[in-house]
Amino acid sequence: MKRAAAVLAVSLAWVVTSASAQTLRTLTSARQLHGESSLIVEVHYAVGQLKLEPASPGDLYRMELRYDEDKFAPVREYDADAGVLRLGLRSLHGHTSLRRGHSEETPSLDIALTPEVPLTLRVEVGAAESDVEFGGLQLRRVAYKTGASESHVRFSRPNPVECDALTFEAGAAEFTATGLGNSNCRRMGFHGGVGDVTLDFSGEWRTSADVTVKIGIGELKLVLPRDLGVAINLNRFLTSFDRSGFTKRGGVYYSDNYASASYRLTLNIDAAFGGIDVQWVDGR
Amino acid sequence: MRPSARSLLVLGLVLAAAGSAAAQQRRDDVVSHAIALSSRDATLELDLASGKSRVVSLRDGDVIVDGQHVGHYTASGALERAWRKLLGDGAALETSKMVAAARAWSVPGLAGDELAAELRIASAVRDLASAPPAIPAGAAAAPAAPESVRASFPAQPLTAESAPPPEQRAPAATSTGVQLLFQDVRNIVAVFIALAMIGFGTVFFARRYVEVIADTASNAFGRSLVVGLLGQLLLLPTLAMLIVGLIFTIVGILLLPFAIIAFVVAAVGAALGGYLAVAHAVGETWTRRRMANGAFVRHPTAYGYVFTGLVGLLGLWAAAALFGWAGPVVFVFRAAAFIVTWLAATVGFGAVLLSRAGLRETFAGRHAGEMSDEYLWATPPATPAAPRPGRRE
Repeated sequence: MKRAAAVLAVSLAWVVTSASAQTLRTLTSARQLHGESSLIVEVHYAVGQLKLEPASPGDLYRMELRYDEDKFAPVREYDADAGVLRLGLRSLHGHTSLRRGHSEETPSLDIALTPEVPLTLRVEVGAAESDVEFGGLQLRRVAYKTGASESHVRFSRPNPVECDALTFEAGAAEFTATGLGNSNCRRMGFHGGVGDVTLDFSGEWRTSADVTVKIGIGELKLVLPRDLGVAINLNRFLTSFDRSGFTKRGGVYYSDNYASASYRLTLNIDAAFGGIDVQWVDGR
Repeated sequence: MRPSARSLLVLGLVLAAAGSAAAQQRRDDVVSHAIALSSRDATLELDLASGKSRVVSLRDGDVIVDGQHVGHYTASGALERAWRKLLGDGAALETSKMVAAARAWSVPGLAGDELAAELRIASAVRDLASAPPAIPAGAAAAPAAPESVRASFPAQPLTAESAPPPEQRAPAATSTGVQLLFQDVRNIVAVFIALAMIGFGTVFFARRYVEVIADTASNAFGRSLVVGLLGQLLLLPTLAMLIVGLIFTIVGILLLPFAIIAFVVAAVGAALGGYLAVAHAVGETWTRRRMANGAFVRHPTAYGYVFTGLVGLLGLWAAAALFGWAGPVVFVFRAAAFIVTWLAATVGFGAVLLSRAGLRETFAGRHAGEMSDEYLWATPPATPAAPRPGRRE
């Protein structure tokens, strides 16, 4: 009995020591514009909180990172010749989650990117909470991938350049994208596993767009502006669909103003086990 | 014409030299900066247009410039406090202002090692530039060391070798090879202890079933492997069918979360139990062979079999951890360890399915009337028998 108690005490001490042995490190990094004409940005972030937003004029990027240096290492690479910027946080020993309930502080990464240069953006987020503001950035192409996380992506202001493709991939996540009309993208895609997804297509539309949505188990909420012509090709399995505001013709759901709308949104949706809700909103 | 040509040549050389110097100056401009602060260190990294970088770090009492130890400082002393204040204030600055602040940085009242270290730092950033220069008022007001003293520390030249590659900088320094080795070994020991405890518990509470599964894995190895492979392939379809079936029954939707959890638990339990049973089989086989060779084993028990088998199965992982320093060889060990682990889990999983979790002995090779190995030594040698009278050959 005494031996068992001793073993338990040692185990507890080890757990407590492990939890308190965190070595917090802050890293701030910045670079000014030096005549760059375009930029490829890759963000890899394993765990914690991620914030991304436009930078102040003159800055190419600014990064503020807070992490446990025993478990993680910062990523900060800039290849001026190739025009590639890599930022983020990588795990040193395979840590991809945090022990909730311990005194461990959540890593955080704040990134600000230049609004003055066209960007090709690749973001990979693991188990993290993300707050991403794309509004004001010049985005040519965006690929945003997230694992088990809560992500909020916003286009609060129009994208000043034409965007080829905007894709989101989410594993088990709560994902919200708002102002997608401001993205100025002709092709968009969302691939989701499990979770609640909100795709808000409000914003200042300047081109018609095709959107592919594939979602496994979960709720999909579509926020659609009334002045947008919307067509939905729906392939669903055990999924409810709120068809208010649509007329079905030839297997496709059309909004009432589809023929007369200035811009059209074509949604190709594959969904299983869940529901699709539609919310119509006025104006932009 | 000749003097004129000579003048032009000289003028050209002068202009070329001036242009080269200006280009060199531009290439040494600081284009970005990074500040890292932790309880262990305070580091300023300045990236230059030439692709080099200048790294100044205060770490564990040492002042380090571009990876070279250049001096000492007192923990929480005046030098460290002033350096941390510079970096803390500089976190919000743009690069040019940070460079200007670093160049103007000076700590009053230092003496001895700390003064020497401060001057080393000053010499490391003195010749760096970043347009437009701007010096914060606070930093500019600080009195500087006498110029005569500063002159004895020339600006540190930048060489390609002076700046270590990114992977050798501060973050990598925290995880040395010894630490990684220690961590790998610790992980393997932890996994071993965990598996051994689960194995002992399983043997204690369900010895008969473990032995049936282990015997199935031993006697029907190929069959267990095939069944295990098929079982792995059919896991997800089975789960999907279970979910769909429950959903179709409407009432079953309520049971869906419990059914999914139960299915996952059963699958993990089968794989883990099968792996432990294979460890039992490996340990038993090895022990019996030792006994057959004349070795004395005091108490061959199921606990000992599991322990021995786990040592054997995890041995390759331990070898991979211990030989991590040996470069590419470690990948061979890791690949071998992975294959062995997967094989053991697959065979074990198949044996669990074949034996219905140890309830069915069909493939366990029992009741065959065979004498087990440990008694073979006592078996009398075969003697030729004469044919019975009257029996046809």
